Formats: sequence, structure tokens, C-alpha cells
Amino acid sequence: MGMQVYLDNAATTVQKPRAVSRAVRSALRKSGSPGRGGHPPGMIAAELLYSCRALAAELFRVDSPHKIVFTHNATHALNIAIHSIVRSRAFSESHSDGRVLISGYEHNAVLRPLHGLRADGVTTVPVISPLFEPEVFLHKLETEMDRGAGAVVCTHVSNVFGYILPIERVSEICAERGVPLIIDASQSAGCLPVDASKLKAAKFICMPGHKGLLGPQGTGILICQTPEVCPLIAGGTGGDSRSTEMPAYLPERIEAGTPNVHGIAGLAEGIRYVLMRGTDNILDHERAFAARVIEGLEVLPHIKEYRSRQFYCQTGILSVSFRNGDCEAVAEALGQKGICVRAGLHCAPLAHRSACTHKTGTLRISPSCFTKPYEATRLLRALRDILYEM
Amino acid sequence: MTCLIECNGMTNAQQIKKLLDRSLIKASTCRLPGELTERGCSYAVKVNPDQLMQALGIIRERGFSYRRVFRIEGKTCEEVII
Repeated sequence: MGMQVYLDNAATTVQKPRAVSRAVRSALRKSGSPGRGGHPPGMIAAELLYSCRALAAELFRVDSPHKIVFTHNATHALNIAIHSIVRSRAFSESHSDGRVLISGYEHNAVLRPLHGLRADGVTTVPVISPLFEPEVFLHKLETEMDRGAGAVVCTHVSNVFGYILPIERVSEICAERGVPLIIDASQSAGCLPVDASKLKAAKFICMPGHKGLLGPQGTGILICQTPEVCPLIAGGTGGDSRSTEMPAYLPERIEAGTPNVHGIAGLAEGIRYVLMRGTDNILDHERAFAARVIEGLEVLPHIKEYRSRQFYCQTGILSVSFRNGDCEAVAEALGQKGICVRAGLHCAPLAHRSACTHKTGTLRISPSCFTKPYEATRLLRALRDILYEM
Repeated sequence: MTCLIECNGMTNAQQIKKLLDRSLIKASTCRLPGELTERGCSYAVKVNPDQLMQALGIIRERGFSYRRVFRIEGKTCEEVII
């Protein structure tokens, strides 16, 4: 079978910089609980966390490291963000009838928390627009905002299609109308510039640590550009212990309990790598891989690729479907040949509805900054063999 | 003799320490002595008394918050009212 070809990096990047695992191992050996004592292991842990906050603040142009909150993953960050906005006074006083507008490309990490808030008067309004048509999306978003909006939740990049939504324009539209914005940067963090200082309406920017930021699983970041944050869980923070309330200040307000110190130590090294290599370079690398795959797919029969003719609209993520084959069956056959891709609905049924692929799903090919060009050749050869046998 | 600047949590203390480091003021983070904590378990930044006013000026100028300031000499602690 040969070496495994891993092309499911939109779920989790498996190949990480060597410094990541070194940092995890070192933190496991040396660190205690941050902020829980003045002894060296406690202070080492605190330094590891601060160092990661500072690196993340640099990458995402956040003016202060205390606005970088660590979470378990992007889903955790999105839940905190959504609950904070929906429970805010501004939301209840917004005369929006509880309407939360979302793009048609959101993940279940957005859909399900909002659905769970129906009893609290929240109405989710998906703004459905065709794939790779950002102007149409913006027009529809403005039309829906005219009908009232208490908040907008928008993904920066679709996890299924790599479609880059015009997030800066969305932020401008929200800022003009005073509507808070939550950005899901799960697929953009680490491969696109995410400049928090320019995203004025974005009260929260949510992302995992284990995808493009090259950190371990169990890490995530919530960028808080507002002090009005509602903790999802309460508990010890290492400070102000006599108070029964969570501290009013960030990041401790949101970080109850002992954090994933070794994971965060690894994440710091992942972010350091992204800073060193540059998001533009990483995006170019991943797009070049996708272009190679697209070129090879053109000679294969019965394949439909979901790709943008406009360069700026798509990352290196590529979805395909098959006229004569089930995506799951093709993914399974590829898996048997050592090629790891993901088929189905990718936890994003709304994105598939928007792109009219909800009945069949798609097969997603997602490279990383470490994917090699020859891996495209192996994928294409394997696909050719599978499709001719079908 | 030393001075302690009580902070809003560990991260705030770390931020202030880094800020003072950049301004060439020797500073370190530490836990506030138990008898000085009102809310239980606090963190502080330790600075030399000669550099206290300069340090506080820099902290204020950069918009960072802090709680109280103490002067420690041997076993004696007193709050510095500024």
C-alpha cells in the first residue's frame, strides 16, 4: 500500500512541526497548574500559557494577549460566543425578535447551539446563497438585516468547499448597523490573514488549535473583543478565591478549571511555525496542491469538482462528487489504498443544502502546509483505478 | 525593601511584568502574601521601590489596571496610597 496520504486536514492536521510534540512532552514533564501557586512548576505553566496568548495575539493582530481565551476547541469557543451575545442586554434590546442571521455555510457547531436556544426566543435565519458568489451573499445578508438582526454568525471559510466568505465586508455591514458579529475562523486560522483589528464588529472570533494552527487536539482559541462575556462553566481560576462569582476580567473569567497546559504549549509552537512560514505561503502551497488535483481530475470520468473560477474565493479545500458512485464508497476504497479523505456531510448539512449537494454529500480533499505534490499523483492514480472499476 | 503591585489575576500580572521588562524596569510576578489579600489568592508584580513611581506611570500610560500597591520591609507591610 505504501505510505499513507493524509488529506483530511480540514478535520485535524496530523502532521505537525516537530517542535509541537517536543513542547507537549516538555510541558508534561515540567508544568504544574498555572496561577495555582508561586512554585516553579506553576510559574512555568503560567509562562507557557502567556507565551501562547502573546503569539496568538501577534498572529491575529489582537491588541492585548488577555483577549486570547483558551478553549477545548472551536465548538466550545462558538458556544461561549453565542451564549454571551444572546444573553447580552444589547441583544434583548435590539428589537430584532431574537433573529440571529447565519451564512448558508455554517457548521453544526453554530447550528446546534442556536437551535438549543429556541426556548430563549432565538430564531436562526440562514442566509442561503449560491457557492462562490460572495456578492449575492452580501446582498441577501443586507436584505435580511433590514428585517432585523440581533446578531450575525458567519464562517470565514466553508469547511466543505473551501469557499472564502467576504468576512471583512460582513464586518463592515455589521459595524454600520451596530450588529454584533461572531466569526468562525475554524478553516481560515493558519492559512488566511485573520486581522482582528480590522474586524471591528467581530465581538468574538472562534477557532480550533488542531487544524491550521497545527496544535494538538483539545485546544481552541476564543478572541474576545468585548468584555461582555458569559462563562459557560464556573469554577476555580487560581485567584479571588473568596468570591463565589467568576472574576470580571479576561481571560480568567472564561477559563475555569485547570487548562490543557501541555496542549497549549504545543499550540504555541504550531502558531510560531505559522508566523514563521506566513499564511500567504501556506495558502499558496495548499492552493497549488488543489490545482494539481483539479488538473488531474479533468481526465477522469464522471466527476464534478466544486471549484471557484475566482481565485480569491477558495482555499486549498476541494469537494468532489461522482455521477456513478457514492462518495462514501469512494472514500472507503481510497482508505483501503492508504488515502485518507472525508466523505458525507462534514457536520455541515446547511452548507450542502446551499450548494445543492445535500442528497449525495461530497468527498472532501483537504491538504495542509505539509502535503507533498506527489501525494496528488497518488490520490489521482487511486481515484482513477477506483472509478474505472465502478 | 520591595514594592508589590496587586494585579487582576495572573495574566494581568504577566502583562504588566512584560511591559516593565520592555521599559528596563526589573520586575517579577509573585503571589501576594496571604495577609494582604482581600479576595483570596492574588498575584502581584514585584518592583524595586526606587522604580515604583516610574513603573506605575508606565502601567497607567498603557491603560493597564491594577488594584493596590504595597511596600514590604522585613515583616512589615503597608499599603502605598498614591
